[in-house]
Amino acid sequence: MTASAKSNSKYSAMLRQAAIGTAIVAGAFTLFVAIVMARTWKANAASNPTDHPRLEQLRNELAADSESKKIIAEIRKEDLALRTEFFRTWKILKTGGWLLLVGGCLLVAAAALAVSIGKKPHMPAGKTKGSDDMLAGLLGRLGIAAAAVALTATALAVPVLTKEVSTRSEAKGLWLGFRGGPAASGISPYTNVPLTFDGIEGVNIAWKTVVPLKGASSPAVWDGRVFLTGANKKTREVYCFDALSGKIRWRKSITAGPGSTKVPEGVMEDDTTYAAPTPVIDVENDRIFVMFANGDVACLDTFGKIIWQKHLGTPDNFYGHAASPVLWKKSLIIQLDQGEPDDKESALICLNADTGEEVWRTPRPVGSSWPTPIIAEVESGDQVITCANPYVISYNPADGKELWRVDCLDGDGGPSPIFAAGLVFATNVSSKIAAIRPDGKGDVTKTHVQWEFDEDLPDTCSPLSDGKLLWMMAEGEFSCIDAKTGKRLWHKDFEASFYASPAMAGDRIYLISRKGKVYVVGSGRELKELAEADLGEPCDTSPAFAEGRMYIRGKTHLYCIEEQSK
Amino acid sequence: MRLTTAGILVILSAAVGAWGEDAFKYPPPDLGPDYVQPPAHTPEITHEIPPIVDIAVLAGALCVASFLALKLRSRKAVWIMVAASLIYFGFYRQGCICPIGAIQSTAEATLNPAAVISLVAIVFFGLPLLFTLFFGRSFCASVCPLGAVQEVVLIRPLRLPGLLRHALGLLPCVYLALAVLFAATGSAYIICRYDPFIALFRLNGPAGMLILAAAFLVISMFVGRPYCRFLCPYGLLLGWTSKLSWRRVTITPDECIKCRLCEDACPYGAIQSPNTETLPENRRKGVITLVCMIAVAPLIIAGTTWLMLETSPTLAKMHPTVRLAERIRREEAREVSDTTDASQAFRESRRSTEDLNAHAAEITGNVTRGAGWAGAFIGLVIALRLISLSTRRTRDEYQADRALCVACGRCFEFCPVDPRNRKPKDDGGTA
Repeated sequence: MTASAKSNSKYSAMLRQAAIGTAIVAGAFTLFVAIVMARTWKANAASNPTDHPRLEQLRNELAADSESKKIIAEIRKEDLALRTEFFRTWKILKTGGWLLLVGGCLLVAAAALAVSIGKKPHMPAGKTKGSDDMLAGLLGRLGIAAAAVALTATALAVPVLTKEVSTRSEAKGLWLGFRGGPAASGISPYTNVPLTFDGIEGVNIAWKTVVPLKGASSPAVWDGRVFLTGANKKTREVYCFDALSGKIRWRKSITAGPGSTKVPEGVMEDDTTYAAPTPVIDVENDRIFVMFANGDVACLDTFGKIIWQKHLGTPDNFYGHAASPVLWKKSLIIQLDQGEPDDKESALICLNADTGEEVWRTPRPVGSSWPTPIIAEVESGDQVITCANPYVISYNPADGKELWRVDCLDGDGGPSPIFAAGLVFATNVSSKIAAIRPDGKGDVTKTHVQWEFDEDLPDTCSPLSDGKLLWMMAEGEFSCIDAKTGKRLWHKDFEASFYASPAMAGDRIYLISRKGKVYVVGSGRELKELAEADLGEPCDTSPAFAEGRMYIRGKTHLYCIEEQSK
Repeated sequence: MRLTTAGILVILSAAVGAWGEDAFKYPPPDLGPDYVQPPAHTPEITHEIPPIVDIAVLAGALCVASFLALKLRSRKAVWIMVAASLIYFGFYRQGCICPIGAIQSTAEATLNPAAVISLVAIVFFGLPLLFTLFFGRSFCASVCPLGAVQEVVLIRPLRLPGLLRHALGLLPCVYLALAVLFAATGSAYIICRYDPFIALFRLNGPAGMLILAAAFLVISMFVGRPYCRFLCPYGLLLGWTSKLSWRRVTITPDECIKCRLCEDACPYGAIQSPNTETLPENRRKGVITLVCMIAVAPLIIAGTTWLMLETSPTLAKMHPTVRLAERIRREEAREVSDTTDASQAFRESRRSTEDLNAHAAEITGNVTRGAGWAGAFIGLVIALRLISLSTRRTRDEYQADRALCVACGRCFEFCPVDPRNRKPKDDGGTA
């Protein structure tokens, strides 16, 4: 080898080394830029004003109050901030795109140079081997056969793979009515609910959305939707919220007949409200049932289409009708207590859930009441348990015939009964809490009351029980009682007023005061205060639960509470 | 290598121009019901290129590309043309209009009487085919921007096994059949929708398309023109036309001396070696194979026709009307619990479900008939390939496969017979 050739060879080796090094650096740089761009792209998507949850929320607020200049100004401010952020990240993306292109080009050029230098020159070979057409043909036929098999498999698999799966089977978050459903136990099937949150600072608040009209109805949740009602003297509405975004999917106005326009007297507009009954969901038939203080009852489908609506007459209730309807099989059962006992206007009414036609009506020997009836799955068969001064009465939901009654209540009853550990627990502020065995007939006041307790009784909040312990909230005084014996184990004065019934998720009990302060206590035999949270606005409704979430209706907003990733 | 570097610079410079054209479009802010949006003004188009210019540029590019590949036989000149096409048709015209996509508008205009087609689309579809008929695949060589970008990034081509090449070689035929089917039934222009390089040319696009472009670019570093060889439906048509071409690229301008220098030159596996010394002695066996292939051809055609007919209900869902009808049906049957923008718009349109279903049924019928024909076409192509693989043509020298050769000019550089590759020796002689 000549000196010139040696020099050239050395130069080529150096050049190749440099090219390889450049390619490695360019590759690393390109990868780094790509990762940064991916992260920036995510941030860019999050600040997109077209579907930003905060803007969506403000738009909903504006829809409820179109005159509010404050909201309009806030929308403008928020929109500007989001746009500024969006275009800032967009600019970063554009710059990143340039860097990516430069890095990629450098990588390709350096790699091509390295390959080019390292490549050995072609040299004339010996005698040509010639083409083996037989082998090539065989391979070709095998290749085509393989492709044909793959294409056939793909063609046959595509219809199966692209078949859209019904979401009905994926229904989750069954919180289908007041306190969760027909039994109204207030116990969540989900335990992964945030311990604490802050509605003011937005901590663990997935979204909050203005509810256009007032109401004391609690949320009902099913299949990615949250249902609520709202009303004033003239208008009654049903709302379907998107559980993920909080956006109102649809709202429907209800006017069930000529009598609907009559404003019920005595309704406490800021307390009981014109929309106190909680919606009930029929998951089998995708139906939602709602009721209002004016006596309107309606059945809607999940798209907000009214299937049927009915006016039951304007209830004569001096605080306003509050009992939620309850669903039992194909029956919608309504406890319509009104007037005084002597008026004989109160009744338990069963409507055909498909048509709204009355199936049976059982007169009740009571005056106005506010508790929601529950369905108790007793060994001998399902029972409808009702509470009103002075009776706890059980009915057969199939025909409305009275099964048993206990004379144990007094005063204006608000708490709904519960059924746990084989006992019915019924209470009211002016009387006692009674644990009743539901297997009697007729008046069982003297025979089937297992125990009674008469201290710190609730006037609005329904009791809660896990079958072993029983909890009651009475004007801030929270008691824990042994469910078998009726012996109080502990009590704690939270020095606040409560309307929301206690709710349990796992080993936690959530107590929401009227001012929106939330207290979380343990569900053990000893008092254990776990956390405090603040909704940020007054609240008179009971919470609803779904997978990892809690929905609370405040005075103005519906809140979705969910653990936010840090 | 220098050409690769030059190509990189071309991409960079072209990208500068393309990015300058990029304008992010964004909806106006929603400021509530009281806000009055000012009237929208559509700015005048200031730099629209007249269709005749597009046609003239294409025709000129095809002429130059044919000249460079066939007459000048210069790899460097072909490279310069590749760069120019990448700049103009790729980054400047942003990949549209292109002959590959023009397949769809042509098919739709031919098979759907209600469809209209522009003169540019017709010319863009037909002109490269016409040039191929005369001069081989000069369009692929250095005019097509998709081929150009793959040509630029090819660093270290790997030789794919024959079995894999033949298997993947069927995809363009399926893609062509589906593209024509969807275009003719008004379902979709899938070639344009899934063009892997359009996001690169426009330096913009959905994340999925950008990832697809990046993936194709990475593959193109190691596999020569993967899109052209294993997907491009227009390449299939050009390949067939090229088989009938009047002139075509030859490896050597003179008599082949079988030095085997060109064997590794082609990254596309388009060079065929001589076979005069390896022809099968048993001619009878070859004839039996051929007869068998001819005999199974109808079965193959029937099979693919049946397969496509079976798949047609799924294929029909590419059409938005069929999808909407299906969506409405599912909503009505309570199989879904939400609505879509399309279903809401339909409900607000006051159009009846019966009317929608009738229209969807008509489209499904068209797709089913079309799918049958598409299946027959795919089967015919498979059968012809099998028959072709069972025939023997004598080659006494190294040749470029008429259908596969894209006239990139790499083999020119390796041929010692070509006078351009002979460098003067120091002593005044030639090497």
